[in-house]
Amino acid sequence: MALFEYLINGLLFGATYSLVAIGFTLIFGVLNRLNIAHGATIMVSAFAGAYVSLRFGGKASYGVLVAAFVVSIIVGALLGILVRTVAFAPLRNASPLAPFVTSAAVTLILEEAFVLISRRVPLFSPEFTQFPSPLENLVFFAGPVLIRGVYVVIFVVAVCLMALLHWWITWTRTGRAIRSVEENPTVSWLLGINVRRVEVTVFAVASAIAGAAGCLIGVAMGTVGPFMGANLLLTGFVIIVLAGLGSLRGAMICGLIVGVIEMTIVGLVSASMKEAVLFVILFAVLLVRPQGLFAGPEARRD
Amino acid sequence: MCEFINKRGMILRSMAVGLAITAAPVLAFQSEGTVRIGLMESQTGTFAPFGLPGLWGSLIAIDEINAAGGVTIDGKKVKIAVTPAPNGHDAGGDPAQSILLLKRMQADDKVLMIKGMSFSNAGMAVYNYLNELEKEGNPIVVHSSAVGAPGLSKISKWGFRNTFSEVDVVAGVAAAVQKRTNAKTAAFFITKDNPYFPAIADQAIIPALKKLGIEVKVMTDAVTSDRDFTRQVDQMRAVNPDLVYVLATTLPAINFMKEAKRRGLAPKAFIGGISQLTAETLKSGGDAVDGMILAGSFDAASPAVKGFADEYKKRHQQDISLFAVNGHEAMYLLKDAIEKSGIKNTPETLADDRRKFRDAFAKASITSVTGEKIGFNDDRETPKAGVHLSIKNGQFVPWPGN
Repeated sequence: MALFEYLINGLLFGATYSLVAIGFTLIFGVLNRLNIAHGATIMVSAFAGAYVSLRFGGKASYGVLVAAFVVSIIVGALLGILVRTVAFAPLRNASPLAPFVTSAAVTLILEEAFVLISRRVPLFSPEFTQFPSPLENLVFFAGPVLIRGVYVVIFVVAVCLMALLHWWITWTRTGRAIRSVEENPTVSWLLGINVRRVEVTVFAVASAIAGAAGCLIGVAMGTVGPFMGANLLLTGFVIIVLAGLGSLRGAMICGLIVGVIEMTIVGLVSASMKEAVLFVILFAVLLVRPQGLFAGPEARRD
Repeated sequence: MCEFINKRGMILRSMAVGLAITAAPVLAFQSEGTVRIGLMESQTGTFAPFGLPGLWGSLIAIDEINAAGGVTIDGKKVKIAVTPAPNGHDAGGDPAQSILLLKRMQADDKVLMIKGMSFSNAGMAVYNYLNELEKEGNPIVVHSSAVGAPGLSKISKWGFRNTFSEVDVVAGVAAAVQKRTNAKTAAFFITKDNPYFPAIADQAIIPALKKLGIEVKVMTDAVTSDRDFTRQVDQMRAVNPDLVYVLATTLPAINFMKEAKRRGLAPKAFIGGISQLTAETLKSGGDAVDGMILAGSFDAASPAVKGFADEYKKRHQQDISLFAVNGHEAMYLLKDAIEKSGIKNTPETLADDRRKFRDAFAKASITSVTGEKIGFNDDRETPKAGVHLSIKNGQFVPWPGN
């Protein structure tokens, strides 16, 4: 029965990993570059949400929780645009590794900045800052299986966001432009698509999703910290490689799978083993299917 | 991943230290009216809840001492100067980084002594390294007001501490709890990656429980980076223990308690340790930690500590903790030792001064801000009577089991 509980809670919480990975893979799909600052965006957004919750009494108010969620999304989007402006735009013609380094630098700056902020802002705490929410002690019992209410809320919100994103990418004019740029930026530019605008939009949307993920994870954990994004970045990286780089559908599904694996390993063995197990699985999958589980066949032209 | 973060943080801090080492130290001795001491507490990361209060408590004491004229050396009043000003070094959470800072302060900063170490792993590493420095002929006193690992100060005669030793009081706590609850069984939640917690369980708590006839039903462990404690709580629920010992640093302890509350684990008593005597436990633990029983070195409600508590709250917007009080005490022990040591406080006499200071420090004795008279025993520790506390409505209050 404990195993069933881990599976259910892992599936529900895994939706946040899907959100983390979607934002990560969306940017990679358009720019063909990894945004290492994605984890830091999650962290800063989570702090923004926690600030709102702490400042306005979020422990007992669903209204404040919604406000914290909205603020996290807005902060994420703005930070994404800033990261693109600082770490990616000036390096358009540089080596592909250059934005990797600059976005890593942005990560370090933001993490160290929040270490200092955590010490100086009285609402925050040096090691970790609480993220109070009315969902903290909400639990449901399905027979002997305990399900945390916050995980159910996270799952519902994350699935709604993913559905909205899927609709936006598939059916809107901007979504088609994004897919076109993903396919071939040069041809897209020749066809009259404003590639720079698409890049800004993708950074804003991907980082807004990261902001949502940061808020949801902060609420689920009950705390946020300056280095929380680094762990999530690694998990997000495993997911997008497992799914196939650039595959949105794969990132959504693999996020859930990773959530289940993680929760089960933590429950049955130890949290210290979860990364090791994830990487063993990643290694095994890459041996069998190097392009990832959900990457489509690559078209080649002679 | 945590390793990755720690290593990256370590590299960054090492680079910063490396850069700092290249800067020429400014000498400040008797001729300039100061005596230089080194501080290296954990100001960031997992151990900051222990390091920062220790630092802040020490800084308040230094301000008090300096405002009263300073310390008397060779017939002259000199001010205590923290190196580097204003907060000393951040030892973070890494033992290697701590040794690097120790070497820097010993050789380059030319401090008389060092106060620091906020967690067991770094404490063990640094105190062992003190023996190496002694072999090299460059010994220096290191004093900790936070590391509680059993046997720490026995490692080197240059290592001191005024921490509150739980080893001395766990038997009393267990007996008092059993008297009030008639407990017959117990369970342990331990974060095993910090050697302090398994050691205190094996060496002190379990033997005390055995003497009282309390059976240990479950020992469940975790690591500091864990965030989900479903397994641990379920293992305890399966045996329904009368007592649950929580031996973990602040965050895992809080998350364990929250999970216990959600899952309805309700023993007759949760018993915490000195790691729970932090403002963060009260701030983030909320009602999940309400009722937890602990042993501390002082009663925060007593009039003796009020002046210090008020000043601390004014500066840092939080209540004093055991670590803050220890940090404060440490500086008055330092003052007492300096004034009785007969040091000259010059660059030429520094090595000799360090030896004289060590000998005087071993005999230092003061009345703490808590009102308790303290001094070092032969193991260079300061035994304290201790009081039983519990958490009620977001505050540490005296527990009726006293």
